[in-house]
Amino acid sequence: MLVSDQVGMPASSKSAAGRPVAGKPADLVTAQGVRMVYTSRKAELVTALDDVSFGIAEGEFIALLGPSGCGKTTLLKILTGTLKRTSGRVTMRGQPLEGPRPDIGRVFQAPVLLAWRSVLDNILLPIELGEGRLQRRDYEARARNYLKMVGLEGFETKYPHELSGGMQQRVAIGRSLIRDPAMLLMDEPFGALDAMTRDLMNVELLRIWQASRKTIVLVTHSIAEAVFLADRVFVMTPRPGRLSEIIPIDLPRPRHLEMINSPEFGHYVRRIGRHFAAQSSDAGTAA
Amino acid sequence: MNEGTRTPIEIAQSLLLLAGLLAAWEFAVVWLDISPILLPAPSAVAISLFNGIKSGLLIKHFGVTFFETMAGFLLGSVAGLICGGLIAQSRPVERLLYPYVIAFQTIPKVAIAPLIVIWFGYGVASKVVIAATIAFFPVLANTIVGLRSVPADQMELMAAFMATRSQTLWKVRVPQALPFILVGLDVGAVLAVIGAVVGEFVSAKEGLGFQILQSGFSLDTAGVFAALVLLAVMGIAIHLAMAFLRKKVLYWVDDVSPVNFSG
Repeated sequence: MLVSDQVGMPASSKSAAGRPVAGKPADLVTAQGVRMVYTSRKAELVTALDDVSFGIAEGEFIALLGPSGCGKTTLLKILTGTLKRTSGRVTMRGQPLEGPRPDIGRVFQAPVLLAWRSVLDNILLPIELGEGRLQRRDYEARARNYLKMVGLEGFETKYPHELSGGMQQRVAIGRSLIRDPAMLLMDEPFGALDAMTRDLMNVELLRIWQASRKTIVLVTHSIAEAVFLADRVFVMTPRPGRLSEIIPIDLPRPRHLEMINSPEFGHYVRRIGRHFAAQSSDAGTAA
Repeated sequence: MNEGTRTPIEIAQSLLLLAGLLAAWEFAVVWLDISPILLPAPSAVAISLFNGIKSGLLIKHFGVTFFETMAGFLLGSVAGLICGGLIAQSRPVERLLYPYVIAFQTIPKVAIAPLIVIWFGYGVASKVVIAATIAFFPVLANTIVGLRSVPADQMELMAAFMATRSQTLWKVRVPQALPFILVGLDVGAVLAVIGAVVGEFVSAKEGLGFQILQSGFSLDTAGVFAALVLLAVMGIAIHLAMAFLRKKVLYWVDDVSPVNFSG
């Protein structure tokens, strides 16, 4: 049932949908042999990422799963273009990725809203920065549309401090969508929320994903969250950060919260959980 | 200090305390038969204040000191904003200069007042310069600290959205610095009053500082107090104006605790 793609043997196996796995031009994004080495304060070399290769097809939902320190966020920053990789190849639509691009949206762990801007102004910030102030009006209708999509209709003129944490993160998602990017990169977007709100936000996210048909790469350290959301789970392991396994999740869509109790769901969670239990005991892999 | 949430009852309590203290002072002076040269009764101060205002003498001195304060504050804070903005543009420059900013901040500017009088003459100009020098540093320090107070994730956000340097400055760093800058302006404005008065102490022909010295020399202690009352009114008015400005500008913050230099 489960196909696992070992790193170092790209394109040797196919995912459940029969897609090429790495390095094929059909993929929206590909990474090949990506390596990231930091110099620590004690002038030691720290390998944050080692030989990471994968391919992501258009419209796919990918979960980057792993304990803290496995390089998930580093990988996401490299995909965003805000962090220069030490070596390796990353392409988007067949072209090398050498910096931030307008067709990649980013959602951070914290909402990172600008407190002095209203909800609408926060969502339109990327337009102001990229297209210019004058173009704002053309995008206002779209901004309102996305506000509706993330369930914040009527909150246009509110300020961030007037919203709850979950609502703020929805605004951040709206902001990441405003330039209609092909891909959304999300770094534990709901990590700061309580468990109940987090479940609801995940359902919301799936709804938004289905409505917008974006490619999503979401970083998480929750196995259940990864299994619930993703088409494929990229399992990462630390020291050095490696992509050790790619696990397709063949659960039907649309997914509902009740599915968490299904035997198939439990099967995937145990399957991935065993992976980490074998790796180390201190990893934060609790669902 | 007292902006925002005070109930009418709290305000009434404050006023009652003041009235009580003034009454105690008045009775103490009368009962203990204290010489008016040592300590005039509040009523004597009030009479002196009234006469001074009626004759226009205190109004004139108030106007002079107020002008010196405002001109000095304007000069010093504009210079502080510009220098702070420039220094914060470059990390190496900032690292190089910031220790000196702190060092100069700790020098009592009052001590160089005589020097400034020598350089800028005995008129209004020297007082404006002293007030400006004192107002300059809190604005400068708060501008620098404010501009570099931007959280790392906001910088990464701007990078991910491909913001230019000037976009990052005007859309994130400046708004982020505003709470700090406004505290700097508040402190600077109140300190500018001190600067102007110290300048007048050193040498002047007019102003409330001059009036205090004159009254002191002629043992008119009530006159000294009358001038002090006007100075206090000026300081409070300036602080309230700044608090009002802060509330208007910073509609998005409830509380900030930036560096608060004084002295």
